[in-house]
Amino acid sequence: MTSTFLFCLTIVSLGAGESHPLTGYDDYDAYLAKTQKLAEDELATATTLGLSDCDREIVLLTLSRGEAKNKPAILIVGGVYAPHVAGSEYALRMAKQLVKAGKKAGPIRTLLTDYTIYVIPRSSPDATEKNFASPVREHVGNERSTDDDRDFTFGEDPCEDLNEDGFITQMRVRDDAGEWITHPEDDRLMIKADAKKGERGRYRLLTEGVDNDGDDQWNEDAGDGVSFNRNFPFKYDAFGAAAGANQASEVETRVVADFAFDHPEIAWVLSFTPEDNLLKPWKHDANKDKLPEKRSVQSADVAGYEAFSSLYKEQLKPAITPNAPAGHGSFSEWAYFHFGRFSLAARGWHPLYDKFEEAPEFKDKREIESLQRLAQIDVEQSSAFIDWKAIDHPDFPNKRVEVGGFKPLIDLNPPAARLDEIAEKHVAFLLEAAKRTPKIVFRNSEITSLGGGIYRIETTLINIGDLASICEMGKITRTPYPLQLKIETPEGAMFLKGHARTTTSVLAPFGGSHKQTWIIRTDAAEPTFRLHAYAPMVKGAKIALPEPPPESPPTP
Amino acid sequence: MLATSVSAAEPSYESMGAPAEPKVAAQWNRFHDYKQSTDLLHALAKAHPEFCRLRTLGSTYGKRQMWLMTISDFSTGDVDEKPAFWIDGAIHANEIQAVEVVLYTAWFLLEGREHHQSLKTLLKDRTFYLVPMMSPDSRDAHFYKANTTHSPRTGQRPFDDDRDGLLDEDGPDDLNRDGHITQMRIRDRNGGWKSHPKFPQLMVRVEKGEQGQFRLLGQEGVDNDGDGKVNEDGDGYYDPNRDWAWFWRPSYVQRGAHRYPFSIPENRLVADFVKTRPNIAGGQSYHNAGGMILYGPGRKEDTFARSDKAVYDALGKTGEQILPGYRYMNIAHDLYPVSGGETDWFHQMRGVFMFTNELFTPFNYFREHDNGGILGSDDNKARFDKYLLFGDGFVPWKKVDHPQYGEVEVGGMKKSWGRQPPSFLLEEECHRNMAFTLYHAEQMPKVAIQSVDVKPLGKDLFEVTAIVENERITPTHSAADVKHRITPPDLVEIKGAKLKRVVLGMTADEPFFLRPAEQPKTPAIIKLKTIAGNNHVYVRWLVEGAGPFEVSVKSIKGGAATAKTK
Repeated sequence: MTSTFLFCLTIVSLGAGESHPLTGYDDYDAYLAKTQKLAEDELATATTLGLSDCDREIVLLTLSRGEAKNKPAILIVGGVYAPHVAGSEYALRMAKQLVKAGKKAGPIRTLLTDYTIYVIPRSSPDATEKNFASPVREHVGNERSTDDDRDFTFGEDPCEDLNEDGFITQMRVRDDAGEWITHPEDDRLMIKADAKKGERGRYRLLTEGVDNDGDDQWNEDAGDGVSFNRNFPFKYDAFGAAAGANQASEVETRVVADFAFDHPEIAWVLSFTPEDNLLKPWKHDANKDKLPEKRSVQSADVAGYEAFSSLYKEQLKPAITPNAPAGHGSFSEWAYFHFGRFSLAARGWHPLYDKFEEAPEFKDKREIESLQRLAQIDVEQSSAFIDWKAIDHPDFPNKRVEVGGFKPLIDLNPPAARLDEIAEKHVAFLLEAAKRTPKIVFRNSEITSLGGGIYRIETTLINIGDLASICEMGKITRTPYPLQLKIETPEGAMFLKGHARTTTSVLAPFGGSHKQTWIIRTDAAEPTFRLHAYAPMVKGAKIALPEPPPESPPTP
Repeated sequence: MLATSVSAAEPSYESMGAPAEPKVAAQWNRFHDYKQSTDLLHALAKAHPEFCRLRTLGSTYGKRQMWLMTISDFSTGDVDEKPAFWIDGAIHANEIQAVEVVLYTAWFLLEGREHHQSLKTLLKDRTFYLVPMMSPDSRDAHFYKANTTHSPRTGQRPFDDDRDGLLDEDGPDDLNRDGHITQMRIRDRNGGWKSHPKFPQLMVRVEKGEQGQFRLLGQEGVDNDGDGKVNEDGDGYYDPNRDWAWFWRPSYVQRGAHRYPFSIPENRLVADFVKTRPNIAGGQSYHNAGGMILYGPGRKEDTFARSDKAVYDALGKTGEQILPGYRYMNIAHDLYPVSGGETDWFHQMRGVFMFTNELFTPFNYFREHDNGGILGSDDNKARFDKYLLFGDGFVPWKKVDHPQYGEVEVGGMKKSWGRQPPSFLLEEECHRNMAFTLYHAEQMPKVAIQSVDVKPLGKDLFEVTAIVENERITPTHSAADVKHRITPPDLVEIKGAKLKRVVLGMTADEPFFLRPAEQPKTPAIIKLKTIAGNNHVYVRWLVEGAGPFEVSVKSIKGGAATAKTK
C-alpha cells in the first residue's frame, strides 16, 4: 500500500570511529555534477529522462562518436537495486572511461563509432540516496511513503540502532519457542533448526529495533518506499513488499521502460544488479515454459547467454561464484522477458570473487557462502561482521538479547578505491561483448534481364555474425523491429513479383539467410536497383545492382 | 377543435420513466459526439449545482478532457466519504452508446431526483462518480473519420503495429468517401461469393461446385506503403481494456496490451483517481455488444472467492430481469479470456464489485435469440434493415477504381449500427442499463446498529453488546479486499461521558459468544475485517464506569451509524 506523502531524506552523519560503507562514493549532488562534467565532452551528452518524487534527475548519458541515431545501441543501467550503489558507480565510471579512451584511435573509439552507448547510471536516485544515511541500513525503496505491513498505518515500526554502533544488524533472542539455532560450523551464523536433523530451535531472529507499535512484530513497517527492482511487470509480486501499488507505478520505472521502448536501436542491455546472470547464466527450464507467458530463458538463447558469460568470466575470474537472488518485478528479467533483448546482469563485485587464503572445507554446507564469507572476514581481519553482544531490550525484559551480524551494504559495495578497477574490467567486457553481433551481408545477388524491360532480381541476405538478428525471446515478444529489405527502382517501375519493401524473417546466427526475388518491369535503359537491408538494432547493408565494377587498386 | 400544440410547461399527461420537464432538455434517441457530451455535462452541472460537480481528470493525447462528474446530495456529508458507485463508458470508443448510457444516468439522477423519493434517498446516502467518455479522442474519430462499427477500439496515439519504423502508415481508406469503411468486392466467377438471393446487398458463400460472382477483398483500403499488404498498420493498436494492472500480460500473451499497466495515460488518470477513493464499493463499465452482464475474473487461472461470486450472482440474476435478452456471464469461462481488464483491477486490486455490460443485443431485432453470435445473424440484420431501417443500414455496392486491384465495388454495413441500437431502441437501452446500476448502487453495503444492550455486572462494571448489521447484498469488504488488506477495516466504537475504561472488547458471529475473538489492542474501537452482505456481527465490551453509552460504526464502503443507550 502506498501513499503520496514524501519524506525526502536528509543525511545524518555516522558516529565517530566508524566509517560509512559508502565512504568515497558519490552522493546525488556529487554524482549529478560528474554527469554534467562528462557531458562537456563532445562524445557525451546528458539528458534528463524524468524527475523523481524528490526532484532528482534520472540522467541519461548518450555516448557516441558522431550522430547517435541510426546505429545499434547498448543500454547500460545502474542503480537498479538501490543498496547496490556500486552499480551506479560502475556505470558512471564506465562512461567516463569510455569517453576518455574514445578520444584517441583504438578499439573504444571504434566501439563508440559503431554503437551508441546509452547509460542510465542511477535509475532510482531517491532510493540510492537513502543508503548514504546513518544508521547504516539497506534501503531498497524510493521516497514514497508506504504501508509495508498493510495495516493502514504508514511507517509506524521502523528499525532502531539499539547498540548505537551506527549499523542496523540483527537481534537474536534466546527463546525455546524460536525457530533458529547457531550454525554447527560457526556459531556466529544463525540458521533455521531442521527437525529432520534432530535440531530444536533456541533463538528468535529479528532485525535490530523495538516493537514501536506493540503488535508483537518487530520493524515490520519502516515505510520503506517502492523498489525500482520490484516494480517492473515481469513476475510482479502484487501487494508484495516494496512492489508499489502496481507494476510501473513509479516514475523511475516508467521513464526507464519508456526510454527502452522508444529506442528500438537498443541491441542488448547490461545492468548492474545482484541478480547476476553473467557468472551464472540463466538456464532453460522446460517446465516454466508451459505457461503462455514465458518464465524461463528460451533454449535458442542459451548459447548466446553462455557466450556472453564466458567473455565476462575472462575479465572477472571470480574465486567463488555465489548464487544470485531471484527477481520479482526486476529490471534485468524484464529487459529480456518483456523488452525482448539479451539482458546481461552483473553484480560487478562480491567479496567472495576476491581470492583469499585458506578457504576451509565445511562439512555442514548450509549457508555455505556465509560460512566462506566469515572465514574470509577472519583471514582479512575485516570488521564486516559485528560480533553478537548482549543488550538490554525493553520488549524482552527477562530474556537474553544479542545484537550482531553482517554489516549492511559492505558485501554489495567494494571499498571506493576499487571502483575504477572494477569498472575497467566491465569496459573490457563491453568491448568484447559488443563484437558479438549479427552481421548482415548480401550474397548471390543477381540481376537478369528477361527481355521487354523485365528484370529478375535475386539476392540472399545472410547473417554471418554470431548473434541472431533478433533473440528468440524478442521473436516471441515482438518488441524488436524485424529486418526490412527495401528495393529502390527507377521511376515508374512496376512490380510483377515482390514489393518495394519486405519484412524478413529472423536471421539465425552463423549463416541464417533470407532469399528474395523480385520481377520488375521498367522502361529505363540500363536500370539500377538499390537494395537496403536495415533494422534499428542491426548494422544495415546496402548494395546496388548491377554491382559497379570493383575499383582498380590505387597505383602505388 | 383539436389542440395543435402541447405546452411544454404543463404536460397534460405524464408518462412513466423520464421526467417530463427537465431543467436540461436532452434527446435520448441520438448519439452525442465529444463536444455535445461535454456541453450536456456542463449544462447539468450548471443546472444542478447542489447535486453535481464536473471536473476533468486531465487531458487526453488529443487534448480532450477526461470528464468526471460527481453526483450526490452535497448538502448531506462529505461526498467522498459516502459509499460510492463508479460508472464509466466506452473505453472502446467505437462502442459508442456506452457514453449515452452514462450521460442518461447522470441526466436521470439529476432531473428525476425530485420526482422519485428513492433517488433522493440514494443521493443522500451514496455518491456516483461518472466518467462517460473513457476514450474521447477515438470517439470523435469514430464520429468524424471513416470507420466501421468496430473501429476505433484503440486510442489515437500513433503506434507502429508492424514495427517497420513507420507509424499508422497503412490503415483503411475511405475509397467512396462516405465516412464508412465498408467492404471491397471484385467481379470474379472463381471468387467463391455471390449475392444473397433475398437480400442482394449481402454476400454469401457459394455452394461447392456452384459458380460464384464475386471475390471479397477485405476492408476498403489500398496498400499505402508499398509492402504488398493492405491495411496492416492502422490506428493503434493498443487496447485500453488490456492495460489494467491485475493479471496484466504483455502483448504476445494478451493482444492489445501496451507497454506496461497504465501505459495508456488516459487510463492512468482514471486509476490514479480511483486509488484515492476507497469509498468506491460498486462499479459498472459499459461496452458493446451482445447483451451481456459480465463479471470477472477475466482469466481461467484467476479466481474470485466464492463469497464474492455469490454477490455477483445475486446482482446479476436481477440484472437479467431488468435487461431482457441480456445474459449474466463470466468473462473467462463464458466469453473469452482477458488479461489486464478494467473490472478485474477494480475487483482484485481495489476491492470493488464491478460489472461490464455489453450493450445492445441482437435479441432486440425481433425479440428472439437468433444464434447469430454477439452481432446477430446476417439474415436477421438484413431483414431488420429491410423492414425497420427501410434499407438505410447498408451502403449500396458501387464501383471504385483501386490502385492495386483495378475496378472494384465498395459497399456494406454502415458503421452506425450492428453494435449500436437504432434511435428507437437507444432510449430503452439507456434506461434499463441505468436501472440495473441503480439497483447495484442501492445494494452497496449499508451499515446499521440493530441494537445495543447493557447488562450491569456489579460494582461499576457493565457488559455492552451491540449487533452491527449490513442491510444490503454487498459486504463492507469483498473477500479480495480482506485478503490483500486493500481498504481499512470497519470500526465499531464505544464512548460515553462516564465511561472510565474499556476492559475487554470482542466479537462473535452468534449471540452467545461461544467462540469470541478478542481484540487486546484498543478494545474501545473494534476493527471488523468485513460485515457480510445481509448479515450482522455481535460486538461486546466489558466497561468500567457508567452509561449512557454511544456505539458507532464507521465503514469506508458502508457508511456510518450511531446508537445511544439510555
